[in-house]
Amino acid sequence: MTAEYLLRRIGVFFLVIWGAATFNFILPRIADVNPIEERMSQLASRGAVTSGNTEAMIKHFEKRFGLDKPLLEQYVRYIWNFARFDFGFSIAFFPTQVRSVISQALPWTLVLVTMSSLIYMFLGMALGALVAWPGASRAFKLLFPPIMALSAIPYYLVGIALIHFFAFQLEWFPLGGGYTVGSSPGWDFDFYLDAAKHAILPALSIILVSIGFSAIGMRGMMVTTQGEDYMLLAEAKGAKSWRLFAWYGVRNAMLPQITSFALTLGHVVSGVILVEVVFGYPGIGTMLLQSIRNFDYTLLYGIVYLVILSIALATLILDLIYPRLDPRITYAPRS
Amino acid sequence: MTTAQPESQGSMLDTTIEHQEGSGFVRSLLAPFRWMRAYPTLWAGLFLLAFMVLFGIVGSQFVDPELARAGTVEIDLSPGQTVEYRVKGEDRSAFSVLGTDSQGRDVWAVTMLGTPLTIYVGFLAALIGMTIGTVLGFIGGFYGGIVDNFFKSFADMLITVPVLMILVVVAVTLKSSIDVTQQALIISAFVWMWPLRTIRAQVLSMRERAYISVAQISGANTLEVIFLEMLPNLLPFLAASLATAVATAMLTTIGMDALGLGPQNQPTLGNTIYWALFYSAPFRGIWWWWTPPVLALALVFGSLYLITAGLDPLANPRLRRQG
Amino acid sequence: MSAETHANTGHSVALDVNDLGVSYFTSSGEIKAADGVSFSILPGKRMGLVGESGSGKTTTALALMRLIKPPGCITKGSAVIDGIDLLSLSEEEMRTAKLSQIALVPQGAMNSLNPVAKVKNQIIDGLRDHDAQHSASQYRELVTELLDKVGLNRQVGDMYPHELSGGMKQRVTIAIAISMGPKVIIADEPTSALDVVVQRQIMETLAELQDELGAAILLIGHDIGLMAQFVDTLGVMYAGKLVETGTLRQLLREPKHPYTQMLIDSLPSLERKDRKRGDLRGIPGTAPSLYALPSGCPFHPRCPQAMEICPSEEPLLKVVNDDHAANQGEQQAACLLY
Repeated sequence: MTAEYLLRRIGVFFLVIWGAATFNFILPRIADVNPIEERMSQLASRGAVTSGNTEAMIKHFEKRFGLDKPLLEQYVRYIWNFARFDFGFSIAFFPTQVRSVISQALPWTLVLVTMSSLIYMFLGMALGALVAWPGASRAFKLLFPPIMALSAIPYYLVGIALIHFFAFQLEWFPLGGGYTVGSSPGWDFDFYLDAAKHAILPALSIILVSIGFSAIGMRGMMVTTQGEDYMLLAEAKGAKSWRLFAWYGVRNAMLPQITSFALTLGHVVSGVILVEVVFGYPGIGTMLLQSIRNFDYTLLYGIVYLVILSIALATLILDLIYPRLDPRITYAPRS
Repeated sequence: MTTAQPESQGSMLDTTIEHQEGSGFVRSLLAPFRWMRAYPTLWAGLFLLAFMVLFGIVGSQFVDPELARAGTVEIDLSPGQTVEYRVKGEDRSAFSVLGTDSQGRDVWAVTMLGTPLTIYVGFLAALIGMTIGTVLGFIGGFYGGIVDNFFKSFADMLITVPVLMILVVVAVTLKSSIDVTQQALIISAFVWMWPLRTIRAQVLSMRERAYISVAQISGANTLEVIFLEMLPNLLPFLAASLATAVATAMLTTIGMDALGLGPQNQPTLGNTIYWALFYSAPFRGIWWWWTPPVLALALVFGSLYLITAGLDPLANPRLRRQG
Repeated sequence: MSAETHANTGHSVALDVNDLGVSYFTSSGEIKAADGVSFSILPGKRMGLVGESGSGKTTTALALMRLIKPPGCITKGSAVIDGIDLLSLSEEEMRTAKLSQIALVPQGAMNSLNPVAKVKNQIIDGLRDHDAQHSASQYRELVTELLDKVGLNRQVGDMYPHELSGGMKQRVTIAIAISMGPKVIIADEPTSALDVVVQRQIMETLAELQDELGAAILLIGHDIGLMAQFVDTLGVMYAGKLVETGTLRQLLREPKHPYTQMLIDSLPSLERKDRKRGDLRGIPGTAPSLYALPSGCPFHPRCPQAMEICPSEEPLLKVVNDDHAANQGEQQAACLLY
């Protein structure tokens, strides 16, 4: 683990986002799809062609993609645009930029993913650690099987059930959405409270399912640490029970959890996107569904590229902070 | 003492197995059947999965496929009523156990026909992905080198990428309607990474073990070593990887379906969920529309989870005592 | 061997173990990993405990530290330090007794330190949990002092275990063990993972510090050769039982139990001058499984001097050579020959 590793790791990051951009470039050309024509025929089928818009749109796209230019030039231009997060205009929301459409949705998803992940990682690791710890209450052991059973089910299916029971029947929570329709998103406390209320069920469907996932990994590692020589010596030192648990057990057992969180982040985000679809949450997922329904290719490619980039970036960051948590791993050359 | 019984049997069996590693293909093939009695979790999972498969296959024989077609019956009918419908000018009636949806389909019929379809996609994709992953894992573990390095790095990279995103781009761009088999083929391209990692790691560690060296020194060729010595010992890993791969593939297929990118006009469970969401069924309290597919999926995912969990002590014997 | 015996001989005893039993309860029944183990060590003395793996020597060490985990448990006996029986203390009392009364230098020092914590914190955190409330600077001084005692530079305190060599790690565990000046130190094969030169240095450090503290050491091991250079008395374990005890000289010169005799015979040592060159022997057979111990004397299937009575009667430790004249203490063996 040296500077060479660091460079390679950053190289992998760029390789992934370059791959994602290239994929977006190549696929429509292989499939021979022309986004504008698709959009035209779709609008025509709805009898809603507004001539002013379409002319501007066609002009823009021909210019933007330089479809008369050689393929290589098109490609270089495309990659350059993606590197600057310039995805052009949204086809469905023309003349709005894809970038600004996405930037409205992105914060919702970021907050939802981050908050849910932090909560489920914390609760899952705590539960897993306590289940494996001989001194802990038996209540945790009883809690374990139902949590494990939930972990087998996709988030958004749990979300559907949560909507039915807690929003539709008990009316404890609003029926979907990110905020009460009519209230304008602002920086005031009431809006945050309203948004938080809307976020609880989507977050809960992610958390309930994921706790089990992180708990089972933690339980396994916690059992392993108890067999380690350092745990024996710590006990022989007469260290207090909480110290053994926290500083010898959890502190060591949590390390692989962070790695496995990084590996499953892609899964988590895919799941969150579907949760948003279920709840009609105003984030990236709902936007993605709209772009699929509208054949809004530019928006779709932009979203997919940004999601892949965010995950690659998050994984990279986790990799870079890992040595802070595990002194055995260091990217600096040994002195 | 009775509760401790299965565990003791398991551990005794396990020690015998470890002592007899690679001692015979037939014995190894029979071994899973002996294990089953000792592993109730695995048993329960297999039983539940078999039940769900049979439930769908047998059940669908007794269902009029017309009922799973949109516009056949009266919409939004709550469960337990008799529905009347016409097929080619012929009047028919049926008892609607689970009611009907907002598009005039019978929910029971849709669930019956959809369950085997969704399991089929999951298994087909997983089997293809497993085969690719296992072959690459063996090649990589055995020969190493540039090819191994390439596939390992590629797999590591692809694992962190949200597969659903790639599939969304593919499905939207290709846009031509796909059937379940085509969907399975597309998904299979994204489930080989974990099997490759698992099998490769196992082959690498196994290659170092004494009995493989003995077999190689005594003149067995590579294929013999793989099929007679390594593969039998890898069975628990392969089975556990397969169960995980099926779950992953199914997760992906219903994810695609739920975004409206599934096989059109086929009542897969994912498509049912897509339409239930499209018509806001959860918000309108039409529970009988979404509950059956969600429940069916929960049971299938649950069975796969039980199988993986049940195989875990076999695949990782060190963990057994700690359950 | 009871406390009275020692009262008679007029010595105070650092550690007095009496009739210690440890069993593992599995679905196939009770497995007696240690059974009726009795011995004592005088202050400032070093006792060695040898035996094959599975003979119960490590079990005995862990039992004295009260570190036996389920399904194992201590079934009987006492281990007295300063008039206090460790085995009947409450969990909390035992926790405070660790380090202050009895300390462990563990086997496998390679992994005995927490990989994610600095050495100094691992030395301190044992002290912190023993009501020893010091200021940060006092702790820093203490760490430096302890590291110095075990021959380590003070900078080692700021290092992580993976930055240390095996020998250095073992020195850190010794520093931890002596940090509260215990009366008894249990060293469980402390040098097993180290090379021969380092082994010797570590043992010397341990011996020096023990002299300084006046503590007693129980040294667990299987290498009689290494042990012979350090211990005063020796105990031999076989299949969970102590089969012979005595001074080092007694056991090397005149081993009484056939197992001890064969053990000594298998040594390529210079101690036994009557042995001819090339007269090196192993012990035939293998150690018995604790799941199915032979009846009577557990050694009888491998014993060249087995008698008709051996499979049916279980021998107890008895005095075989009470060499009071030489003030050497008594030699005991559990064998029906005597």
